[in-house]
Amino acid sequence: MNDILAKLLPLVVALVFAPLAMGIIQKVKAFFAGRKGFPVFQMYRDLYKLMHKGIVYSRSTTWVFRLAPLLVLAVSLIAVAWLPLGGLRGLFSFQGGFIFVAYLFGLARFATLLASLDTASAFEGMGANREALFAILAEPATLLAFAALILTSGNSSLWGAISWGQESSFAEFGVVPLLALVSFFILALSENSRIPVDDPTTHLELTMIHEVMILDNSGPDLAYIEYASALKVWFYLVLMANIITAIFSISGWAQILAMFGFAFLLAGIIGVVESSIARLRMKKVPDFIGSAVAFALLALVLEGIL
Amino acid sequence: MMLFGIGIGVLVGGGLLTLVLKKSAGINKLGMASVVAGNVFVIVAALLGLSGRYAGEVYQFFLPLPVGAVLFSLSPLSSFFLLIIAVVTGLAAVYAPKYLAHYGEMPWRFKAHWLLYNLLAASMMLVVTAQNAVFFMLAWEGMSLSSFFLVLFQNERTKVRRAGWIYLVFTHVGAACLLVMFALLAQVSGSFDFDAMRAAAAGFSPGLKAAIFVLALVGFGMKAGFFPMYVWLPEAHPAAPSHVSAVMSGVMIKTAIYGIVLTLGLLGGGQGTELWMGWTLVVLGLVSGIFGIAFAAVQQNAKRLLAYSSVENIGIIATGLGVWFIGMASSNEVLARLGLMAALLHTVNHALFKSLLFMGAGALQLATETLDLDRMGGLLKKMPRSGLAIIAGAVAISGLPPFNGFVGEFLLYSSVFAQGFGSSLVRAVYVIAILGGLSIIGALAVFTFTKLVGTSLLGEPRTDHAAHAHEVPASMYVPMLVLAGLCLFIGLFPLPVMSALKLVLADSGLAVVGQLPSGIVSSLAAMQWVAFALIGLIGVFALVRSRVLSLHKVENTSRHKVGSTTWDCGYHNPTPRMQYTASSFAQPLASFAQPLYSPHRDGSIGPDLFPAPVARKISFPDLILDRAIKPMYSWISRAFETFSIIQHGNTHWYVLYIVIALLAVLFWSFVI
Repeated sequence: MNDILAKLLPLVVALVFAPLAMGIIQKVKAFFAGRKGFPVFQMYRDLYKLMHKGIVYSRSTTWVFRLAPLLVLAVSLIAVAWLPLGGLRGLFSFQGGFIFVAYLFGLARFATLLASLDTASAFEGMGANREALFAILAEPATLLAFAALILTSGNSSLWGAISWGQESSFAEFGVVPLLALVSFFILALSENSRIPVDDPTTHLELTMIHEVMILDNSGPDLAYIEYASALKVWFYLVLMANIITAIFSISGWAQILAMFGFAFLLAGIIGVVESSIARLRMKKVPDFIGSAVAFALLALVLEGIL
Repeated sequence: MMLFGIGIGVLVGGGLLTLVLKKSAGINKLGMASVVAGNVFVIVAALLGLSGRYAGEVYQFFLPLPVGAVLFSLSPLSSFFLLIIAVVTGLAAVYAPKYLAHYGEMPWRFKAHWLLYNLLAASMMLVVTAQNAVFFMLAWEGMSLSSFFLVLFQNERTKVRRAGWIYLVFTHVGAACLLVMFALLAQVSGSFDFDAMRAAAAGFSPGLKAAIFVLALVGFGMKAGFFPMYVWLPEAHPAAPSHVSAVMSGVMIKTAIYGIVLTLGLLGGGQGTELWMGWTLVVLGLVSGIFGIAFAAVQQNAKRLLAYSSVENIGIIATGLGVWFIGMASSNEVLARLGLMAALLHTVNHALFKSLLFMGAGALQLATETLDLDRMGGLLKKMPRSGLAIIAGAVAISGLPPFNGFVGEFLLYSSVFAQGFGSSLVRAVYVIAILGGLSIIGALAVFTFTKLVGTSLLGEPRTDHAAHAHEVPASMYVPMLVLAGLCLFIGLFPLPVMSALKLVLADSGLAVVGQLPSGIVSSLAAMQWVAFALIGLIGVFALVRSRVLSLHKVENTSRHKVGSTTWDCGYHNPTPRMQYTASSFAQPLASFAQPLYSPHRDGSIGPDLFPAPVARKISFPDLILDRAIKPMYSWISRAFETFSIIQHGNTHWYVLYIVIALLAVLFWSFVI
């Protein structure tokens, strides 16, 4: 029983803290903009409010549009349940789990794209198009970065790699996990529609990618999608925090503290990045995501040589 | 074995019987009934064969051939392909009558169609069971010719005739390579029987093996559609009736995969492989995959898009075969088993979802009278059942869980964890090739099939035809739903299917025995549970959503509304023409990868003072056909035109040529 509870812990932590990380990102951005910003707990209130609203469905839409938010949230939930949290193993772990999770995110992307095309809106079609296009680079980057990290340790699952790293220190392998980390940071920005790829807070639909795809969602559906996005951000934050604690070989109780510390620190760094650089032109975005592919490739080749 | 014979007999007899009927409807019904009846026998025989009942037995039919004998067997490997052929041709036959009906009343054409269709099914079944090279080639030719005439169903159209012509040329260049290959094998082994060839294989020199491998790769590759030999697929598939495209793309090109597997068996199974063969297949497979899906992504014609995507899937299968070869050559059993299992599994999967999608394209065509995605839209509301099947097929072909496409790809991905690559740098190259290649293919597939579904089924109708579309008859959507169900079944329960394939792997020619690595078995089992959890979570969230909506009493208030207009950023009167079309979806990709596509644009959007109606058309010439083969042939014909100065129609000059030629020969013999 205790075993199952321990395995559920990463999921519970994610469900509780994911909206807080979003609050931290926006607080940092507000600080740099010289504003006070809304409270860090604002997202919890937003979700609560959205769950109490009705939903407006366009007459263009079909069951696809109603299914997508459910699927997207289910996928995010499974992904954070799988991810180890420091010394805590995820709910399930098996050889090649990262491939399965990456493909589940692919399924969620598929559903989001179809739902946005279902609305017959020009703007949403545009967003769907961009999302599908940039995924062509983001998908290989994700898989290659995971593979570099996992194969370095001689393991076949992320949990195996992380726990191996914490015991015998990734530092032995020097630059490989570091390169994977850089790759994941770029992916964290691009997959979660952050500046410089996308701007979640802009008012101009023409420049959006992800936000424009969910223009027509409202009420509980929007709450599901927003919550799923927060969980996905949390997924990347914890993933990177895992790598960092493994690099420094932090273990025991210090590890749990370090996990939270690094996760929120990384949220802050994302806020700093978002405040300090401008959004790229659409034509430049592939170059940016392409650099994630390049770092991951470099990591894999170095892994082969070392 | 009798069952198989009866099945073939029913197919051929039924095809001939349609010739005596007069009415179109009767012809179509009889044709369908004969295929279904014949295939039931074949399916039973194939299932028995798959269980190993007829393993190691070779049967001879009394019909004599000039060279060789009619030898066939129902080994597990043959039965495996037989089962796929029988299921898909059967379901496509059920789909066919109502689809054919839209062409109107044309009894003679239908008679020819059913005769050829039954012959195609029968000859494919003979191809995968033949045990003699001459018999194999006869069946192979029967398959090529019957499918060629089936493509020419609407032969009054120039485009269809052109497509048929391209197909005929390619299929025969391939057959020529195969003839040479079998002649070589027969010469060395002294017999056309496959058993004798297998027995002689141990003494083959490396050079001979290399020659046979290359000939098989080109010969079978022409039919399968490897890059760069895929050219006929995007031409022939759109031209043929949809159920014929479904059969050709779903199963006929798989007979070439069978051919490659067979050839390796003839080379003496595992002993015949060398490392470079494996790497060649992996590279060829990944290149086919990436180019195939990249070209599929920009197509506007639904069936052309699907044809390019067949190139992609054949590429994935070829990659699996390559991994198997690498495993065999380096005596790495895990790799060999994973590769072959992935290739066979993806063969089944592609047969299921590709025939489903071609039938779906046919249903859309029937409803809207076009295959142009830019003229569809909003069809899911009009055609809920076929639409559902198409969406399921699209998810499956994009390789996403919990459908079957993912399982085969996962096996290939899992091969990166295998040990024993020699140097770790080789392993890194392998990992990058497999992970990078497959994930790019996967992301492009998501791009392509969200485009296909999004512009045809979702949104608002773009034309009057699309607005007044109707659901197709049950005999058309039921086969599609059956196929969709099979896709989901394999996706949710991959392990039973894979254990059924174990005997196929252990087949005498292949001899890949043993269990799958336990790591992979437990991965598949875990993924099964997660897939169920996913479905369960979706149910829970749906329940929560409907509960909170009723709990907070927002239903029937202005805060909750079903049937409003789409929010278009303040614009209240959006029209269907404002939607993204298939072309606009493809445009950014085409401009990012300009050299790959070199799009051809007709018409211009001029900077006129006053706006006037403009027409603009964008098309993507094929990389090989339009940008390599055609320029090459026009160069050749130009080169030969220079000889036209000696051809001017004056008889006395021609007599002079003869004199000069004679003198030259005389002089030559004098010198020698």
